[in-house]
Amino acid sequence: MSIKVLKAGLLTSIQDLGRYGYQKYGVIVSGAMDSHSLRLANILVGNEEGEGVLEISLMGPSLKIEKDIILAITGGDISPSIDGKSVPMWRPVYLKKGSILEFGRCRWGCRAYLAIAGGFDIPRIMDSKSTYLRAGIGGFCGRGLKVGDVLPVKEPQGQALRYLGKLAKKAGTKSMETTAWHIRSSYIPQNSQCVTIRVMKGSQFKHFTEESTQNLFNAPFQVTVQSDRMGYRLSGSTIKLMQPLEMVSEAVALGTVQVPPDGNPIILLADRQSVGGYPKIAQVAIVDVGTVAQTKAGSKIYFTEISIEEAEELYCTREQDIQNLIIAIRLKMGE
Amino acid sequence: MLTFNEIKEIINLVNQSCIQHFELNHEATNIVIDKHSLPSTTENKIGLQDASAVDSTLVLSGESHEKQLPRKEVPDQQGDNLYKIVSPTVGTFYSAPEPGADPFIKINQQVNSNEIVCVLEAMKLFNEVEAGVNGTIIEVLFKDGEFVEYGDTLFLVKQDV
Repeated sequence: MSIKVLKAGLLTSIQDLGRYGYQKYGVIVSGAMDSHSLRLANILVGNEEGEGVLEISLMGPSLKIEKDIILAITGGDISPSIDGKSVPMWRPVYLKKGSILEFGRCRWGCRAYLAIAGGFDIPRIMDSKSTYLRAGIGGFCGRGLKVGDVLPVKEPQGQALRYLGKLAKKAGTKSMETTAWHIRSSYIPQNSQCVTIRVMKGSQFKHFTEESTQNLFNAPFQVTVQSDRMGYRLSGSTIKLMQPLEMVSEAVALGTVQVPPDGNPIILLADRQSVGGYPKIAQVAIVDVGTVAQTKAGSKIYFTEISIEEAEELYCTREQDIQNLIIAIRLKMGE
Repeated sequence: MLTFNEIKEIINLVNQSCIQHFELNHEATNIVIDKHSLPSTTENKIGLQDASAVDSTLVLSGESHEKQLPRKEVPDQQGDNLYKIVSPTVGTFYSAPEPGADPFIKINQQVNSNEIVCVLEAMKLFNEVEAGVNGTIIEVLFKDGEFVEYGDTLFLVKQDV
């Protein structure tokens, strides 16, 4: 059971929730840039929520499905289709063997997540299926997909198998079948040309000039083309320290906003380094990291300040929503 | 097995709610309460058998028990070709796939039976409702964000002849 890559697209790699526990050896976390979308994709096909999925960036691949499968696509909308017919996102979709899944124009967001019931049959390296692209570790041969790759898919079990059976029955002879329900997609702002990201003050916030900290919360920043899975480099009003700050390198986290000497802030993302020595002006609330990850180069970002307590509350609310969603989907799929 | 008082409490709760059909499987007891079945019966008929031999079955019927809030009034006078698209679930009504997007359908629009006319949100899932007939939308009875009960009429459709 497998999926064959007919066209590679811009950058498609296997990612899960990341490789934790190895940063002390200098091995970065990696994982999905928008882990919320990854979790939802897995939940929709009956997988464990942290299973490895395809992270598809901006221009998608063409994939030949070599067995009847269930998949779910979440995250950015890169116009998935089969034989010119649009494949609906944010819900389980049954596809018959031989279907060719293609992607087109990127309509919003920039990273789509494609989960397959059963997951990819690849080894976990250091407890993770994520691809660490720079080091060539994990995922499919430690790299993004190339033409001719054949991705092995595990036989679905448990819930994933039940979902497959249910949709296969509904499909009959049709090549594609979906549920008559879907989950909410609108958590990603539709107008992704300008997004507001909620942040907390960073550990060196007080070392920046008043003008800089005011600009941080009032002026827009543009996502530059130097942005990648490691971090988003922003340009806009320059952020300055009151006086030069010599720092010993210390741990950085997902969503840390650090400011190098040129004054242009960087938001650290999935492939961030494990430690950094630049002063940190802000920390993105975890619930908004996915929104940053779906922002294209050229888009504008505004920062707005929230407290740690507010960020925690947002996080807890979202986790509760996910748990409720899991229950609702199981009920809907007749468990 | 459930005690008599527990069963009585269940009957009362269902009776006071707008639930039309209720099923419960608890250990060896199987309870079905259906307000639709046996519509001709004027008295409540309750049959309860012992669980060990046969599934215990409890049937409560009758039309006079519902204490529903006043729901949308639906005009009935427009002839035989008028079709009601009714809600298959409780939930929140949305006329468009996304906030700010164009609605699935508008008044006076032609629809096919398998066309999606709205979504109903229940437990974070957005359930699509199909027209069910070919025809023209005459009236939309709910607004975005309004709560819909099971069986409520959502749209009136003039059926194609």
